[in-house]
Amino acid sequence: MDELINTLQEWLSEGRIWTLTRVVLLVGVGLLLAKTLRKIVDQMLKRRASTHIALLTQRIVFFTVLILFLVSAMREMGFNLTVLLGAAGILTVAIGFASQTSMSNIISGVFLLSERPFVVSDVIRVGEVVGEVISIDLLSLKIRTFDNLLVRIPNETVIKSEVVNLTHFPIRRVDVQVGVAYKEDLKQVREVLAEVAERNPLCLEDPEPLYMFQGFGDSSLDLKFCVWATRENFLELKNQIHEEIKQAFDEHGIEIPFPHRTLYAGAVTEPLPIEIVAGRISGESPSP
Amino acid sequence: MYTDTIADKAKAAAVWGEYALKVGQAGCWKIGELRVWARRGEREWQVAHLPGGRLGGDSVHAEVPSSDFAPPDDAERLRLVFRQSSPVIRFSPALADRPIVVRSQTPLRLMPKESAQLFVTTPLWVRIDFAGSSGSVLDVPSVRLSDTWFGASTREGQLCYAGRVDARLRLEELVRVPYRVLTVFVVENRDAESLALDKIALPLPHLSLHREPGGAFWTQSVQVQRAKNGGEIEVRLNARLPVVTEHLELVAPPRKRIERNSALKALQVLMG
Repeated sequence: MDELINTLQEWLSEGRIWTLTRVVLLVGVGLLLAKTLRKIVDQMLKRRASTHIALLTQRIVFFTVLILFLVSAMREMGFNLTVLLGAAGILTVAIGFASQTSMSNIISGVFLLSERPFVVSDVIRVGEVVGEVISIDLLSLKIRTFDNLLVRIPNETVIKSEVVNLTHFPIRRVDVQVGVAYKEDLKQVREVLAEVAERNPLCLEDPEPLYMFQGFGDSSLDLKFCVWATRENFLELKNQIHEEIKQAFDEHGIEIPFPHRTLYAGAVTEPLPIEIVAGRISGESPSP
Repeated sequence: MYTDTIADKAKAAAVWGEYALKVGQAGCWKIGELRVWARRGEREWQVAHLPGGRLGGDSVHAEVPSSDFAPPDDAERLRLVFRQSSPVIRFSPALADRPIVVRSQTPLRLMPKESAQLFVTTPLWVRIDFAGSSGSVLDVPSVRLSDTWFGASTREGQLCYAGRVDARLRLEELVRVPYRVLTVFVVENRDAESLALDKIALPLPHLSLHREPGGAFWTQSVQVQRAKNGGEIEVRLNARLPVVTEHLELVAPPRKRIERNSALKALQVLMG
């Protein structure tokens, strides 16, 4: 024990107290400066940049300043930085090989932040996942689905896959697929649809509703009716417009047909005779 | 000066203002298509309203105190709790919270080197609050308007209201109703080409609301000038009030102040 105290006294007597003070001062000042700069960057970017860009810049500033001061402190303590940097280089390569996936995610994260295909609180679809973006982190994207599940998608996957941002533009189109019976007057159907859109206050007057005849279907004349809504009212209008179309068709006697099948066994097929006997229906095979 | 009846004016003056109710008493109001019911309790106010469109009608009517507080089932209801309920409920008029698009049914062109005055009436918004408490309880339109998009594309533009707008070139032709407000829109075309006036977005949130002593409402006038040689369209919200009336009293300041960049950007798309 005495030996240890003696060694320490010798080490300190060689003018190292001053060195130690300088090291502590350098680390302290570095920490203080890094924190102050982080606050300044936060104030500067609060209104000008998104939360994620601000957070990322703050971290970069904080760690750069701190590392610079730590390196200076280590030099004061007599470390040979060339050797240290060489070792760090080798270590970086080793870590790089070991953490290829993480690095790929980090780089993808940086691209996502710079490209900004979506921001926090946007509703997006990635593959089969639809939900609200709750955070864009360095390694992954976190989405809250509408059934309240947290989905973590690696940034690399997001970069590689097709992403649909459902709330990027302020207005959206609701497409209604509807079929009417072959007997119906298409002009009247068109007028009824236009009236339904006009009556609904959530349906935007401009862009005007779009009516498209899509073809002669198996059982119906296939139509597409497209109306516009604000992104906030999209779901409400989607529900309302279907109900209102059905109601308006019922009021005007317009039939929405279900699939029809006609049995045909050749040119000579005759209709099957049906006889009603005391409320019961019985079939009789045709006489030869 | 315009086809506004004395009865309408009296009604207009009567429906806006303060109503004192005792504890347990109720009231029923009808302004345009909007219906409002309110009942005062000792420590609460119950307020119900039915936006326009469902019950129809467009008159102005107030029944205070009314026999009963019986709003229909589909009315939107609110219960407001106080330490001690205020005895006075207040109905104030306001301008729309978004621009309203005025659309001409037949294409309208302003000929080169010409100017024109358009008189446009738009529905008022109804603000309800209580004397002695801050903030309004309801801020709803007297006539339910459809949403519409006003802009060069579906990517850029602004959300507005559409329809139920009456615009005329002569003031005398306008039928004035007590829950609508009149805006004078002055357009000047200095260019050698005619100027299309098919769609105009009236920037009502940026305008102030004024009232004649008789009860009719006016906004500041809006001036639009198209520069020579296909130059930019310059929009000015006139600080002065329309010269057609005198002694206008300020009822409500603009909802939104014009902040340089955003307002100028918004006003650039005033005409589509």
